Amino acid sequence: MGDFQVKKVLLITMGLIFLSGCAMQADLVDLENEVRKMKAILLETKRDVALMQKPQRSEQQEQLAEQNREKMARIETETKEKLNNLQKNQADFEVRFDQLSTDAQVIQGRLEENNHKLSELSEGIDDQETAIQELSRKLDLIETRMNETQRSPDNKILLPGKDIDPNKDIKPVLPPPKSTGPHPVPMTQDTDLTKIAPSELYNQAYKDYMAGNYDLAITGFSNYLRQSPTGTLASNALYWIGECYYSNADYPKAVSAFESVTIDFPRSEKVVGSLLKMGYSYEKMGNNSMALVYYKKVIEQFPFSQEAALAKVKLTELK
Amino acid sequence: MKAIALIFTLLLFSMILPTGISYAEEVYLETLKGDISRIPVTVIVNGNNSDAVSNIRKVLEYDLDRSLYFDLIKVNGFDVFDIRGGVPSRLDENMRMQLRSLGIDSVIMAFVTKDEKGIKLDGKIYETGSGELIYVKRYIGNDNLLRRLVHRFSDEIVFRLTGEKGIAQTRIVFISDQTGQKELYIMDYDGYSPKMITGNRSLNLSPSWSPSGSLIAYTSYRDGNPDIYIVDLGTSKRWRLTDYSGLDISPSWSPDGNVMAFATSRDGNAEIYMMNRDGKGVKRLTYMRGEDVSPTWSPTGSEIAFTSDRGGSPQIYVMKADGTNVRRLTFKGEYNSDAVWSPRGNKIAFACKRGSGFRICTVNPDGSGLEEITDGPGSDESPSWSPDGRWIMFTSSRNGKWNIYMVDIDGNRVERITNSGSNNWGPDWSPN
Repeated sequence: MGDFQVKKVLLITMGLIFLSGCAMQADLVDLENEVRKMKAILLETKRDVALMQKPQRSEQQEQLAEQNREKMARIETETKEKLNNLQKNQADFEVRFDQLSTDAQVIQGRLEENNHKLSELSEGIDDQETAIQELSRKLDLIETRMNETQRSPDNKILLPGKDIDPNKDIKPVLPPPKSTGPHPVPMTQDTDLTKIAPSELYNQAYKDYMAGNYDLAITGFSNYLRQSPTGTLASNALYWIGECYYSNADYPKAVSAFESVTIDFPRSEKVVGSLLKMGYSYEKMGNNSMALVYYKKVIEQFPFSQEAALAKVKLTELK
Repeated sequence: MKAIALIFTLLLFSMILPTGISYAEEVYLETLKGDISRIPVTVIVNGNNSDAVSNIRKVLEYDLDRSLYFDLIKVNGFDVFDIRGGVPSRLDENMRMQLRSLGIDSVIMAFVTKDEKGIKLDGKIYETGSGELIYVKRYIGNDNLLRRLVHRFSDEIVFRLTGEKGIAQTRIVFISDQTGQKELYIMDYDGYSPKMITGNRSLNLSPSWSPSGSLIAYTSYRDGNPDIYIVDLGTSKRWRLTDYSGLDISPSWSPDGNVMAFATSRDGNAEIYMMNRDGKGVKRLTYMRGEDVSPTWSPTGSEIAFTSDRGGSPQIYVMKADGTNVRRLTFKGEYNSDAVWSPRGNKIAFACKRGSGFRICTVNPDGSGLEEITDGPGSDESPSWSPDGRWIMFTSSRNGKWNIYMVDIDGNRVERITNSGSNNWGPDWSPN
């Protein structure tokens, strides 16, 4: 009977230890105290049991045994209560964890939405900036033309239908291409490009990428970058150029494009993808040691990203 | 002298009228639609059996109308050439002039001969500009193949007059509870000739046609656990691809048919995985917290769109087919799911929640140009593109029970496809 009680206490203790694995820190401390207390009680009980097992038991001993049994019953009830509390705490803890997870997801969602709004706004600003640049360029051009006209020998302002002698050799209003000094880029080509809003240029290139026209997409994204080198979508454009080269199996060029993303736009959200894709590209080129370097970089610098998970898979594959 | 005059008149008449032609004087025109972007055509059907004639006319007109390429102009009074008298290589000039004056570009003629052996359908297309015969073919088959024969002729008409592939011979795989269980069925694109392809008295879901059209992948609880199966339509052989004890759902074939993306709960929550068509080479693609389900491939095979609630609410995301570069596509609405990439790659259709029900929405792959193309009532879900990208089939509860409908991508026309009294869900349009 004494052995049975010892086993029971042991079982309860073990149960407590087992359950404590999932409990919170505070609960753990409580639990440890509880276990220590239980150990003491256990020793005491063992002593009592040994006493009781002696062949001639006095009345006093009988009383002691009775007290012990009562004590054990009390401990059992208390332990049960504690266990229930622990279980309740654990359930609460799980609910709170779930809530936290959901909150994290909601925050992630808000972040995505805000980034989206921000990039839409920035795209608009980019387009406006380009439009303003185009306007001021046109103004410059008009100014240049006016100056040219004023500097012409007869200093004549040409008015339509008036003052024009058809026999006279009229100087062209537009200065010859050579004299356009301040504009090194051929005028017509430049004008053609700037007529398109940067966002439109980018979107068209993205469409070409989606349609699998990678060469066209590379040209499109490069044009965007030429027009808006620091635009909102510049790092994206550079990243997509890398993706296009990667899809064309031109891995060295892909690497240099992805590398440019990490160097020119170190804070861009495309950096992590670029690092991973550099690893993929090196692996495709048969340079596994370089691939490993980049996979490790992804895991070290962005440990919680989707890319890190993919890099870990690659690491185990390569090892 | 009189006799000579009579012979002369007859000769003259026979020159005007090719063999077998007869038409009444009264000609009137009824324009069904006034869409100038469509080719104005007229359909003339005749034959030796009035039931067959009316059936053929109905199917042919439906097919041509639903191709969205034609403006069907009804012209009464003309009769069709009887093929038994030979096929004139040109339209009668008088008829040509009259049709031309009605603005008709092409005349589609069908002559049906029904006898104890079966059905013969003689199809012809004439151009009214030159009057030339541009297509002629005889279709032969049993009585029960009548619809099939007409569908073949319809697709030929679409191809001859537009250079595009028609959809009249396409089919739909869908889920129906006709037997009380959710089994898979295949029907023609117009809702006719449904046939059950699973009969396991369990739950069968998310059917997906392989790009070649010969296999269908689907999720089934046949063996107690939701796993992915394939059925070969040619041999009726079926086999299981996954045998993980959790959920393996929503298979989607890559455009080359070699790989399948699917969602699985083997990592606790649902993530997108990829596997070869033999079930081997399993590879994980997504690693984020939240449920990632319902993958769909871009036609180039380089991108995958899917539904994820990593941002708190289910939204459509796009990633490279290797799992990199995940970006969010939809930002409007609290619930967007069931994305399907259009066959031309320029649109993604999905179910978008508005109020208490879903609508069918489309968006460009860069997230711009969001459009709601259905407006209920009830809920519109599970979109699937026609192979020509001009229609979207979906399931809707607008009339109480769940039924399959199709809507053109402008959202102007909605057609009900199933009407069986049972519930019908999850249509997937065959690729050919």
